[in-house]
Amino acid sequence: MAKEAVEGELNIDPMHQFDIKYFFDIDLGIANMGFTNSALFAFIAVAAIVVFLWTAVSGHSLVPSRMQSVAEGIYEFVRNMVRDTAGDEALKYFPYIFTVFIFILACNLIGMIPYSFTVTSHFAVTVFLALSVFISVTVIGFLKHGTHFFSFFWPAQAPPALRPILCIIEVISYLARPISHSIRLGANMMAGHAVLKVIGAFAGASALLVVPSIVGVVGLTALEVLVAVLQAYVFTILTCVYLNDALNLH
Amino acid sequence: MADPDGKAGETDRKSLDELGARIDAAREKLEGPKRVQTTKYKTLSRAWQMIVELVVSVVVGGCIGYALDWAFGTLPLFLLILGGFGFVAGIKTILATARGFVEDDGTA
Amino acid sequence: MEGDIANMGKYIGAGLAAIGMGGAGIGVGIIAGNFLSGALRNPAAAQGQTPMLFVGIALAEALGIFSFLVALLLLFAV
Repeated sequence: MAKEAVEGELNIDPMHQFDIKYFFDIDLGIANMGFTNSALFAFIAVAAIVVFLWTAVSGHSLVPSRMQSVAEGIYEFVRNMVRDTAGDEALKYFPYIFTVFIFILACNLIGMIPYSFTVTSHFAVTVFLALSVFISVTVIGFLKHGTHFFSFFWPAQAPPALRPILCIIEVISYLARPISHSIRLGANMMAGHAVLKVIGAFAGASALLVVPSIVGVVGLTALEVLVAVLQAYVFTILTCVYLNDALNLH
Repeated sequence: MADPDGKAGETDRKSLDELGARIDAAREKLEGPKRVQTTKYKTLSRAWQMIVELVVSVVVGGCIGYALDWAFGTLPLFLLILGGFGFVAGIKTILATARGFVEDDGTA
Repeated sequence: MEGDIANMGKYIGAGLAAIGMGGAGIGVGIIAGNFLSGALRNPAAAQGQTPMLFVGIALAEALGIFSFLVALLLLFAV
């Protein structure tokens, strides 16, 4: 797969920005648990969230300052989303959903800063997020309904002969959820950043291409900011939908 | 509104709610009723979402079938059957997504 | 050139399987074109049918992606 020296000056390497670099190694025998640039930017995201929310609500005035109204806006937005899609009962799980939302949002937006690293562009991260949602939602379903939760997979209205087949189909589509859930976020972030890199690399190819490439990068960056917010929103609303399925069984 | 147990007292909250209702009414008069904004981009991402859902369903079904085949030694049988089931499951999922699509956009 | 006939067959097969993506492209084009011509005749009804447009596109494109998957399997898994 290795390309030979690329002809001319066009040297496009869009995947280089996703390389994982180890700052130091902690070899546990089974895996290297060292500190990577991915972990660093995840920590930066968490620190940014803590600092932002802390300073925003530290004034806690009745008439909010600008920062406070932004923080309250995000809070209320996610809270309404949870309540509208999953009902009042789901508000118990609001802290978790808010954490997921703001973590993905912070990671996506920090990834938009040049020379930074997009944590959510790696499937290892998104699969972890989606699997934790999947497992916790399944556990919540079992805790609430007990073995009655299996009726979620059993189509009681269907003709009796078809029921076992439909049951298998339901199980497959349930198992497919975390995968499509994680691929959507990871692929969107990775594709967007790779495209940015490719368009940017055209500027190095010839002097004629510099201006169009810069214009294209500026436009695409604006689009990518939109994608960053939108994908955080989509991930969260799907979490709410799955939670609703587990709580209310259709 | 954001925090029911917050610093605002009961009377403050009441007057705030009234103020909020008045602001909403004034805004509606000014800008017309609220509309859900759907950008072109959102529809595009929805189309990709459907494709991913369909493919993933088939792949998951195929993987389960392959595992069963590996266990029982009947190679193409369960792979094909569960792959087909996965396809049906994927179509079911994307039809559900399309239904959500209609609900989001209102009657449109 | 090294390798053997089996490898050659693998690569040729992968190339042939990738042609299926072209079929998906044709299919998506036909669906979108027909939707557009229908929508231009009756724009009022078009908006209600966009979900079905996406279902059709997803179906056509998914079949193309399956052929792509087969090509990948031939290249890396077989």
